[in-house]
Amino acid sequence: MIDLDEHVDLERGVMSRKVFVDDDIYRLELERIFSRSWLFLAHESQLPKSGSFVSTYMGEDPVIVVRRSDGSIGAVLNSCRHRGMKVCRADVGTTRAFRCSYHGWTYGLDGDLVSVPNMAEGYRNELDMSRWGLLRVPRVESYKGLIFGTWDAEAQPVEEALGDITFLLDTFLDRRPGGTEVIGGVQKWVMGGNWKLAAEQFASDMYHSFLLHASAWQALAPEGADLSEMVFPSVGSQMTSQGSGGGWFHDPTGAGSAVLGPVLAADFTDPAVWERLGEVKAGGPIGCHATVFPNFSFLGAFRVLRVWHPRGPHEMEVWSWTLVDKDQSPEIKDAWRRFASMTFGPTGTFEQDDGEIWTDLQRVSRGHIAQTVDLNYQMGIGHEVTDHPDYPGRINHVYSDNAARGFYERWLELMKTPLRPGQRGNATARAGQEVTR
Amino acid sequence: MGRRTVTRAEAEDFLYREAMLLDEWRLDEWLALFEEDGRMEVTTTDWNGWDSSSAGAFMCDDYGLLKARVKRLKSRKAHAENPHSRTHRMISNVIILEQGDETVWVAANFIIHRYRDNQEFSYVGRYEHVLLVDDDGLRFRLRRSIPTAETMAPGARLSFIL
Repeated sequence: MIDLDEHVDLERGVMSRKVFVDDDIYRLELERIFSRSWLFLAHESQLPKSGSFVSTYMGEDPVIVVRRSDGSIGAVLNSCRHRGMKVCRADVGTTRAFRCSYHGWTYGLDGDLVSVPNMAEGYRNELDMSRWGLLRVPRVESYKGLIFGTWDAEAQPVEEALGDITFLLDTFLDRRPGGTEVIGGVQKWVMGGNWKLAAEQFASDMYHSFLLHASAWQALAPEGADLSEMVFPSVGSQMTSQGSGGGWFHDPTGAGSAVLGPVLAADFTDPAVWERLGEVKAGGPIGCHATVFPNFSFLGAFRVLRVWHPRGPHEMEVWSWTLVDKDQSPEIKDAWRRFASMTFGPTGTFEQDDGEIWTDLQRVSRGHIAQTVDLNYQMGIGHEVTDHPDYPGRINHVYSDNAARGFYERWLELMKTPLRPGQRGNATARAGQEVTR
Repeated sequence: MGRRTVTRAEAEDFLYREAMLLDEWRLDEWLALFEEDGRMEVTTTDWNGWDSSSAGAFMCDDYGLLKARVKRLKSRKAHAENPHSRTHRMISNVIILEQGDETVWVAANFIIHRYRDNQEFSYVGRYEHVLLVDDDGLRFRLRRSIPTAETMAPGARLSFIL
């Protein structure tokens, strides 16, 4: 067994990059992080009517998220109970049933097995179809339009599990009474780098923003502006709670939002939105950069949501959504869509440079000697407060490793705690996992 | 009929010259091939003819964003393209689809070989452009690039102009 404490010492703020490259650690993450955390599945606007479905992943497991006949939303493992083939091979669509292309076992929208070819001749009518439905994700719940699922039947309700990070999520999801909707589909691509590199960066790393992304800020700056004269903000906060976290500057109308251009800046700082969110949230958190533990992130000022799907220790598959306020005009929604793809996504001028860093960083981390040299997660250590008058969670300066340490504290806690005996996904104690539905 | 007839040879010359400017990283000259308010799109690999406002665009720059993209690519701090990708563009099957009043619709196939960071990628696809016809030449009103691949290979970041 790997001694994780040997690689991660959060009291001293040091960590070995072994956690980004080790195969055993990766396998343990799939079991102890991804089998029991609430994971983001889809946005409700992607499932407009009964029979609407989208395919996604929970860790490396493919699942189908479906709007069922009664309007409720469920999720099932996308794997036929007969020989294991995917029963749904489309990314998105509308259907009445899922029929496996291998032998034709057919399942209803709720995952029940409804038809088996040659039942009489082959199975002599002896197959108990009620026991061979698709494996259901036992808990699927929504928070303000976002659909989450977990394999842990006894998990706390999603809103409780999200906890303090709803403070930041609300600045994104609850700007206007009509809520939000996805625009422009889902962009999916593979980048070099361990999934945690992206998750910890979105939770905690505002430090890189103006340096690594200097060329993108410069390019998007208003016509005639000299970036050397633009003052980048240095006042801000960063929070962490239950592994989730995010950072923001205290002046979201400053240099950062200047790049939005007049139309989007006017939408971003609409007085009605500010009034609805209140002074505290509108005065900073509205422009945050955050991660919901473990692998769901969002960017307030760019209207971008994303999941970092784990794909082995060395790669991540990025899924990215642009989310707009449903009540907004088509022109503004379209402008957000253009801005989002210009900045974040496969052609995104910000994200390209993150991809460059993560790919190279991952390569360096393969080195035997490199793995013996600790990385520094010490920024701001010992200067956290837990009784901030305005913000929940553990707070530190925007330039700190506060939320990165919080992320790895939660990661370490889960990695060191075996799943309950009988819990789905427990690799060392399969007893009791027989499917009873 | 338009103000004048555009021949396939003229469209080919325009596309070949564009390919040369991009391969040689002469981005300001490339940007000058667009009319003011010209746009550029790269469709996603699952694109199915959808209107670009509903789904299916990796890139959907209006002229302002396009100018910003070029400005960034010229920066030595554009890390994803420093050093630059080496590209080698092959363009063929050029067809005039339709000639309108002031525009002409041109389609072509492309293969772009790209080398960067010890990796090698081939991007295969089709262009469907709307070109403004001027007395002295052609300019992009809409430059649309439609990749044929089912997925982008891992690491095939679209930091260069496809």
